Amino acid sequence: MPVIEYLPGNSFFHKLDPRVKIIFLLSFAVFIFTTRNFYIISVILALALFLWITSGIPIAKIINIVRLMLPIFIFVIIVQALFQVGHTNLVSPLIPKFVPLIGGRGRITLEGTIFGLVIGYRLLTLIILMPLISMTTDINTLCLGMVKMGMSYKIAYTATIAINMIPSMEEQIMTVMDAQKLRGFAVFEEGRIHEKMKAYPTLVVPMVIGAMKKSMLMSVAMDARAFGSKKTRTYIDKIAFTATDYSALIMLIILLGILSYYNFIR
Amino acid sequence: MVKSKIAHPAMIACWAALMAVAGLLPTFPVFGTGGNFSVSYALAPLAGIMFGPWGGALACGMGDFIGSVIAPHSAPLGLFTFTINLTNALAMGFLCRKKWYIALGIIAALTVVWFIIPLGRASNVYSLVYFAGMIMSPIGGIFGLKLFNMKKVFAKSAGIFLMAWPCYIAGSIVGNIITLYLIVLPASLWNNLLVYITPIERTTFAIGAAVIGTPLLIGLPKVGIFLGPQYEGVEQEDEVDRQIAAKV
Repeated sequence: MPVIEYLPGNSFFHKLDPRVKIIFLLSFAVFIFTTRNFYIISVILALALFLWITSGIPIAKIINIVRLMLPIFIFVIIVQALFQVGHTNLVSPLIPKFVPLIGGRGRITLEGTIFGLVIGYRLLTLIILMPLISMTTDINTLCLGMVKMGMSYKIAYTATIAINMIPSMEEQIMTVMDAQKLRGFAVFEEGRIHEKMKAYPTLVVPMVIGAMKKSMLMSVAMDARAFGSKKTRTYIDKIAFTATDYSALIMLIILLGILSYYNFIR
Repeated sequence: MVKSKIAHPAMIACWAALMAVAGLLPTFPVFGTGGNFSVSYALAPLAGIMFGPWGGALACGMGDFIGSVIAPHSAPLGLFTFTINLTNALAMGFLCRKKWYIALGIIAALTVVWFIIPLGRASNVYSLVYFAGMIMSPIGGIFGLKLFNMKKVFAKSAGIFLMAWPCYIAGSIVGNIITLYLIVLPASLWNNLLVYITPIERTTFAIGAAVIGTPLLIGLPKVGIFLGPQYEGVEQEDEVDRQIAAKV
């Protein structure tokens, strides 16, 4: 199974040029980064969900991401509720007065809680944008799109190798981990910090040495094929902007214009 | 004849894959974002030592970016998470190559950015952590590097620790600036709580880097892989010959 899941399809988003998808991702990521407006975030989230559903990506994947992100969301909401300045007290004082020294301190405000929810919502929107691109675009096409956008071929190729190496690397980690567990280092998942500090070098050092040995062999193979000797490259797959791509790009610009107007001007 | 001055794309790719996988191995929680400290944090400064500032930054940035695509839940700052380890490796690459002033410049420039942001200005007490990073840069770059080049295991560990600490601060400033915008942690939290937690966290990370990095940097030359500032400019085959001659 490939490490970056690609779900082939025939949807509108699947057919888009990877460059349009990259522009889509970057522009909305930057937008989310700059806005705190609940309605604007909702528009971006609704658009992402619409594309997610129409591309045939199972909703269960979003639910899974939300489930895994839950500790971070809860943390953000609690911190904002406790520390953000607000006037409407929900719980005050947080620590009962009868507690010596620290009694009567702390409060949870309505404004802080709502702000925490908005921030969590924003984080969720940002996080679900990424799989939308990776699940609808083949990794080689995505790298080709990056090269066409000006990224060095060597960097794009390095990224492709890295992605393809992940499954074997994971397998190697599991092998080393099992071997170390047999030797008594069973604290990788559970255990105290100092126990983990002792155990992790026994996992990481063989893992890194194995990876570096593999990379040495690979570098010899690449050099033997004169990798990087020619600056201009040819590609098996070709990508070109179509009328759909241009129209999607124009729609994106219009949407960003409207959102910018509501976010920065109004 | 292969010179180890510029890291080969295959090595960068392997390290990036390693970073992506290591990012999935959680160790203990990080307070600032509610996420987890993963092994990839310990590997970031080591990439700077082994591949240099640019190679290290590329390997770490790429690895973390791929990691955030594979497992979005492991990236608490979403798409921007990769910038933390990228900056860390970049600073370390300069620091361990006798260019501590560039690492200092990176921390200083990022601190200026922190002060430009109103919430950053309000969290002025927290910026003491950054000034500690600035002070530690020359200490790590001069004294730490001397210890790192020694053959004694403890001295090497202490060297890695001293060099890694300011680099973790450099990475944390980038993360904090993103946090200011993305999670908008209130100034009272920065000034009253995180100002104490961050140095402890970064010290733990630096100890982690030293604990993992020392056996690694001692072990790699023994299996014929010569990476790091001490081998740069030296032809690998010459180095192998030198080691064989030393043994004979």
